[in-house]
Amino acid sequence: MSTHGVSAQPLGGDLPETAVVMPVYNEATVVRGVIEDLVGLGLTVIAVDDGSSDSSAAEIDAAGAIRVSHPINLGQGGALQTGVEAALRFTGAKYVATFDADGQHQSADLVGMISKAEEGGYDVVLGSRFLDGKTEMSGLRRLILKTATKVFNRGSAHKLTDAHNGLRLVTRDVAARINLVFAGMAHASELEQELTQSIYRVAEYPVHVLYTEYSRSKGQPLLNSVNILGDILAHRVGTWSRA
Amino acid sequence: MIKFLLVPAVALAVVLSLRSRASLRGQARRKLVAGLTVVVGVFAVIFPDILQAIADVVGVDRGTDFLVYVLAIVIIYLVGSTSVRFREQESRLTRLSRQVALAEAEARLVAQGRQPGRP
Repeated sequence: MSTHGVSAQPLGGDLPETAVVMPVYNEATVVRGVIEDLVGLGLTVIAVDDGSSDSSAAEIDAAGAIRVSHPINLGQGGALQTGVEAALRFTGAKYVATFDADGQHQSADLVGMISKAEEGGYDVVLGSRFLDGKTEMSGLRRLILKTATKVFNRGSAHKLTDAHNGLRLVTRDVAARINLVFAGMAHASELEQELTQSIYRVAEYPVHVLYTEYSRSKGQPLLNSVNILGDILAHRVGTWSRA
Repeated sequence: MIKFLLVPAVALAVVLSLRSRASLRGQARRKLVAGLTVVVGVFAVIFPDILQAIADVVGVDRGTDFLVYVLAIVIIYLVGSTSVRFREQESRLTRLSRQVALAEAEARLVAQGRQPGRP
């Protein structure tokens, strides 16, 4: 199956060429369906197998994505950076998107984000779970995410409603300037910070995140926020800067 | 008096250690701290009176207490700078793995006859 160039576009619209970067770590049971869904829409999927120990790599190949395999596990930030570099190197995509492999994101949301970027001429379109009430989540998760967003928004040029959403779309130029230092989970804030510089035209798009039993079991444990905060603080003290 | 010495010393140890990096200066500083610890340790064993005298000057009751404070600061510095070195090593490993992964993927794409489309 070819993932390059022209493919069927059931939506009827002419989607501009978009490379979807998908970090994959031991997601063999779900990743194939997620990729096939996107490939079916005419999108190029760059799946970064982050040293999975299950059959994720075979599933990725079978689903028709471009697979880039880390020899060892680097973490999600490391995988995103690799995926972005692969997208720039292996495709001529106009847009680069990030998408979770666990099936919590909807491909229709991504298509909507591409249209929004096209119509509004935005450099960056970020998914937000809080622009409408479609996403159901626990009160504790909501509280943590809202607090993280408030902290993030301080001193930032663009005010976001959701600072930790894995569904993002950027233009090729913006993608070429992404340079993530953290390989672990701290990349989420780091990436958002890079993408919301005042020189970019940034928009948010309401997305619907499905918290299934599967995605919940794979999600970040609350304690991991301590790791993230520690990484960020040590980095800021070490370099005397926000970036 | 010791409070006014200890608090800034701890803060300085944290900041200096996190900023040390793998630079020559950082490496030299680590070695100086390690060497100094040994020398001071030897002196403290041979001449315990010196330790007591310093403790009296900075307002600590016993010489051993003063030693504990100093050691705590040394440990904070060494742990901090070690973690920085560790993180740098990690970042090198990340870049290496990324290049390996990209090179392997490119070779596979070419072998499959899928021309990696360059812009």
